[in-house]
Amino acid sequence: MTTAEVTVPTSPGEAAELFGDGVAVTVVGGGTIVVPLVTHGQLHPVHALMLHASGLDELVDGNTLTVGATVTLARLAEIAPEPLASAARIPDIEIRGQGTVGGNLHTGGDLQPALIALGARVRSVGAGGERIEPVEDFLAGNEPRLVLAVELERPLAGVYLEQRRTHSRTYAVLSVAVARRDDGVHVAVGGLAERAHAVACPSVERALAGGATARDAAAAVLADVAPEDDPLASAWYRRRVLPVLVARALEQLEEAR
Amino acid sequence: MKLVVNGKERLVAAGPLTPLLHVLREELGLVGAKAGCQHGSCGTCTVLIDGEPRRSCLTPVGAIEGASITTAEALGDPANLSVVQAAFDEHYAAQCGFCTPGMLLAATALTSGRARRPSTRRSPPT
Repeated sequence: MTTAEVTVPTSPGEAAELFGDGVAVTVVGGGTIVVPLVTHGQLHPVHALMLHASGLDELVDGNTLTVGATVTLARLAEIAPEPLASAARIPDIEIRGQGTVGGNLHTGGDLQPALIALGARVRSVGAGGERIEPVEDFLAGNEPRLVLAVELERPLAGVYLEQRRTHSRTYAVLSVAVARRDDGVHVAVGGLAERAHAVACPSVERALAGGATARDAAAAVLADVAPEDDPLASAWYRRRVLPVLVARALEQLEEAR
Repeated sequence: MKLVVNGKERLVAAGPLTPLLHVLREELGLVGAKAGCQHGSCGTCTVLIDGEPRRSCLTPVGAIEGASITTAEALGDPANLSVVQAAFDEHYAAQCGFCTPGMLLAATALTSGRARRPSTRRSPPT
């Protein structure tokens, strides 16, 4: 039972206004993150901002793909290019129909490596007003922001691979997203530790630009990441498996040419 | 707020952040949807919301005002099983029975064509 003061904005502008500087505001998109935390007594919202009627669910498919914050992963999977479409197909169908893009930018979300590899930008509001920034900068920030939309361009080709424990509904143990864009191949990885954000892999990208094979370039990934032990997998396991996954993704990207 | 539950309009007094699961079980007395893990993993709380399978434990009731909810209670009765229930019965799929309501609703959605077949993600062989 929660005693939160609940507001239900009916436009993006009203959502931004009610969010304000975001202090003490709990944003409820699809509910898949917030509701269980409240149920299990791990979160006691003071002000809850429910976005289901906010109109932040617009999807505009033009030269730039603009994905509103409350677009569900199921809708995203239907329209997104690889590697994002595969990343959006998280288990299960019920969760994909409810979980949102905005919520996935929360800790550890499965879309993050794909969004980084695609060079996506996040449009958000909060203290200081509205801004748009690379998804990596958004993830690195620690002040409250209300996601309005994610914007990206379709790549030339993309591949998403992950290591997931069978029957596990947690975030992926490891995930790799690679995308060939006009300026070269971009690589990002996720699942490095519990609640860790995905990161770009500039060492791998430089090796590829320098003409390295997929396997040699993939070995450089260990210079870009600091895997940790968590309940899903050990750091040792992640260091062993990650270069293999990156190499496979890069090899599949070559075939996707 | 109003919900249409198994074809009947019901008034709900619970606060908007209350999970639909708790509204069904505690306020409306419909205990077909079970309270299992209550964080979206196990699936025994699955119901249909406007025909789509959803985890009722993850759904804040305030977000679905006016929606049409289908729970296991509406599928059939012992004398008149639904097609999916009859198939579960024939193949002894109920097993211990705790997760079965969610499986029935998910399978009903799948076979009705409202939910797409689960798509596989690209994963390395295990």
